[in-house]
Amino acid sequence: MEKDRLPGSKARREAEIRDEIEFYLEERARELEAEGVGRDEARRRARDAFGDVEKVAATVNAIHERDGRGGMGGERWAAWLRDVRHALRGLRRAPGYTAVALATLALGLGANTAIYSLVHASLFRAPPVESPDELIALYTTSRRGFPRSATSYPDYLDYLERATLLQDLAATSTLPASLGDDERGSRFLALEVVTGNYFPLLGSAPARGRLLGLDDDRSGAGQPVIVLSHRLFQGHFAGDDDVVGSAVRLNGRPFTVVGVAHPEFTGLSLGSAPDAWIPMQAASVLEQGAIANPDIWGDRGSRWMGMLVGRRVPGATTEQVRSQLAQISDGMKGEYGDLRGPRDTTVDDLSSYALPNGSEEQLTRFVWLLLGVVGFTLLLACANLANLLLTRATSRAREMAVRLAMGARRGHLVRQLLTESLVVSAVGGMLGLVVAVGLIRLLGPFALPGGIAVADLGATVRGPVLVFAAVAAVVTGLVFGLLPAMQATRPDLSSSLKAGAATGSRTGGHMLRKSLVGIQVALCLVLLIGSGLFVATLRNGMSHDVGFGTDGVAMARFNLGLLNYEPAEAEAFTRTLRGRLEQRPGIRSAAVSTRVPLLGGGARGFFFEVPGYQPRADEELRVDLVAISPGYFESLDVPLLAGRSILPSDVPGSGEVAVISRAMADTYWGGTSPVNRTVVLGDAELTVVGVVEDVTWQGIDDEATNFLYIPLAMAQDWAAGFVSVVARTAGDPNAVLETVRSEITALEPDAPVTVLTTMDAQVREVLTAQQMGAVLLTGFGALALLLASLGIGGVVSYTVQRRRRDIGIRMALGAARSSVTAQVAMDMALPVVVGTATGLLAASLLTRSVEGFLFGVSATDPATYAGISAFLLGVALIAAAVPARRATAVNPVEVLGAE
Amino acid sequence: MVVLQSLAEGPRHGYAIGKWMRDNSGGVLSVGEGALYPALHRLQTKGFVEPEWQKTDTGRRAKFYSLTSRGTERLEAESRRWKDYSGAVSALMGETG
Repeated sequence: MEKDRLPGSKARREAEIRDEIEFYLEERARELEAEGVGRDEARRRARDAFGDVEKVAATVNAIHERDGRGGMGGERWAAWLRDVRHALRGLRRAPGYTAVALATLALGLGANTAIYSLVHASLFRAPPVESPDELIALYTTSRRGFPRSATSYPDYLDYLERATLLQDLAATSTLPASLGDDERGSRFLALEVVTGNYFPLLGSAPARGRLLGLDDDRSGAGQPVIVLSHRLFQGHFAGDDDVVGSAVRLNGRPFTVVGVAHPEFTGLSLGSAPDAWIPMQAASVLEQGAIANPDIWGDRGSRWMGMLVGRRVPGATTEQVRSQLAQISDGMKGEYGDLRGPRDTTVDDLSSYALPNGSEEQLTRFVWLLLGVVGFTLLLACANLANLLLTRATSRAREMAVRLAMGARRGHLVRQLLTESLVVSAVGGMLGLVVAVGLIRLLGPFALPGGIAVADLGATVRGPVLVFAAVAAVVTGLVFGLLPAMQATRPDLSSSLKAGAATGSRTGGHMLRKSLVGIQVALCLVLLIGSGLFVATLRNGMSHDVGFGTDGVAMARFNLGLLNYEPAEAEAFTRTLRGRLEQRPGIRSAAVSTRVPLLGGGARGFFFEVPGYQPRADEELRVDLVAISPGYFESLDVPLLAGRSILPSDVPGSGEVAVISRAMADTYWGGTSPVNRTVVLGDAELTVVGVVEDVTWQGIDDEATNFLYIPLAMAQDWAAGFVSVVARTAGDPNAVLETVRSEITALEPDAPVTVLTTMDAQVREVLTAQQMGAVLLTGFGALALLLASLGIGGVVSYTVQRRRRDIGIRMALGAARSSVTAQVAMDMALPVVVGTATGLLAASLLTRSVEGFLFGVSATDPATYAGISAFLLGVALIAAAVPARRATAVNPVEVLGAE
Repeated sequence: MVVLQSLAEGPRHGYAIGKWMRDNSGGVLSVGEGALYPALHRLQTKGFVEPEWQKTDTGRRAKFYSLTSRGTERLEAESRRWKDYSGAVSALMGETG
């Protein structure tokens, strides 16, 4: 036998094969002509009967190339490439199937890619520093056990010295400051204050100039220095290189810009990017915040520093560091007694960005939940596509049987079929990338638990996410393609070769199809139940009584602390601002305070006493404090339950008064009125003058706690920090936002306004994670429902096609249309019921993990479960009945006559 | 197996094999006639048949395939197996076809 090795002979062999085929076609045409068919027609029919000439020639060539040369790796590739080309051609010939498959896959794979990019960006992405896997984050716990609380400077020094498993440890804290700039306009800066070893420890490289070093962090180090973030450099300073080396004004003090950070370096906390970095010792000149107090360096009880960043020594694990710090902490408890108290330490792995403090678990759970949702939808799509393929396979059963009989190997056929589904999957995946990019952009405004907007996550479809997309496409192609491929190439010749097989219902293919439907129903049910729970939560959240009027309120937050007002100046400021705002059309009342519901601020956790009230042994009397101007309760529309609210006449000297919350009144005075009674707060004895309704301060699932409202004038140094303004508007609050801002800056140009929003917007933001969940779950639930309905309908249609004869006979024998329809539709009954039961079970187990996001509805809310199940059963019934009914429109005579 | 059988009576070219199959199987095995060629060539690479360019009775040039000795052995083995299998299946099915 010839073994063709020379390239020339390949062309010759191809020509030979063509000759052979050409001969066949000519002879075949001649045969037809002999029967009386015209020449052209005969030629055409011969070609049709032959099949795809190109394909055959290619296959024969492949046989020779592969087996002639002994099947080298290169030939495998060529054979596989041919399979791919063949698959593409097959897809072009079935545009309906291809369109449906591509659309489904693009959506499914695209959504999974998009959500995975969120997962990656929030949980796995490493900050652009040297060896991030060696980094850890260290916190001191609070007295009450809050895991990531503040650390004092002496504590930090102790950790630094005693933690021998850490090469180095740096401390950070945040500080707002005002950047004074006559040319470019003043603006508010979010600074990160760091110890000198911060940047050297991280090993990041500057974009311009240099970064902070140990020498910058010494007291008496000359003019303080600052490193700008790249965003601030490009934005505010317009990328002007001259700014490096020049001086800028921070709170009026000069700082020298020594460098600009790397474009990708945005600190170590997810979603919070500092505007600039300054050394810790330099920060005290800003006379702002805790750091302005020179005593804090030595006061172990002054805890103000945030995250500490450490680098492990080579070979040490995070767990080992954790134990060592626990030991150190225990030692400190012994040495410092009450100054240390019951505090421990928390050590986190910092190989990826630190999650928002307090929301770590919620955020993590939420993004995995989203991935689960889109994953389920993709599975559903796979089931649908598998069913589609099974249908297609049946129509090619004969072809497969003949090829098998002719000696084709089953493995090769399966591979060919799999290549088809992989090709579809690959193209679908590529389209899915476009979908993913679009979806990420669409989700931009939504905020994840912890308050980070998707747009600020920096989620991209690059690198590891791209790998995920590729793997997902391949796995998907295998998942939906393998079963139909195995099914289609069953070496079961007898049933496939029989003409007119009318008894298809008991074959393995049909059972497979029904199980797929069952799986689809289960998946769909889980998604819809999840959606129902989130929608219910959202509804509950929006209608939850927060204790004040949320519509028609505009608010702003700004920082007076940078300006060192004397009490009299602060008083004058408040009065003037209120007066001017209340004069503006559209504003009915205005107030100034240290805290506004859902916006933050204020002072927390003060100890107090109530004369006449004996606290229990384990009871701690603590209260949160809000300092308010007159008009506060009116502006927020908080109902006054007893007594009066704060008045302009409540000034120092006229008696120290306070208004308390209802929860407080109920707890400590029971049924009697607390008006004119006393509350002792530190040194002060306050007279209660009024009681107001409980207000939701932070989130919708707040518990009512003790609140004390005191006049601004009585609060020491209320103007030393953030201050809020609320204004009740007659109409749309958005219309007055600019007015509020301009009045504030008109009175005090150097007080940057950091927040300007309406209460409605704030409520929405608080519920944003639930919103995002509801939107995504509902969207994908609807998609799932569509897919499942199509799946059920498709299988019923198909079954009915194969049982036309049976149906025809039954109708001819006089069976009513409706009873035949019912019988056909009931074929689906078992898989749908089993699927529903499975889905209910799965849902009750899986929704447990999202309990933290629900509000006002339990994870196994019977009403939701029952309602959604009924809905799904109804849809499934319709999906099965429609094709069943259509099938009974068959004319019995036609069908029987065809036999 | 079927192809090998078609050559048992003597060498044939591709078209003749196809026609033989169509004529003698009552039209059942007539799907995609082109599928014949890959089968033929596979048999060739495995050494069961041998091709030769010759002239047909009408004087045209065609590739004729004939059974090799290996091919003959293979044909006997395969048809024995098929007879056993289809016999068993028929017995089980009670010949309702």
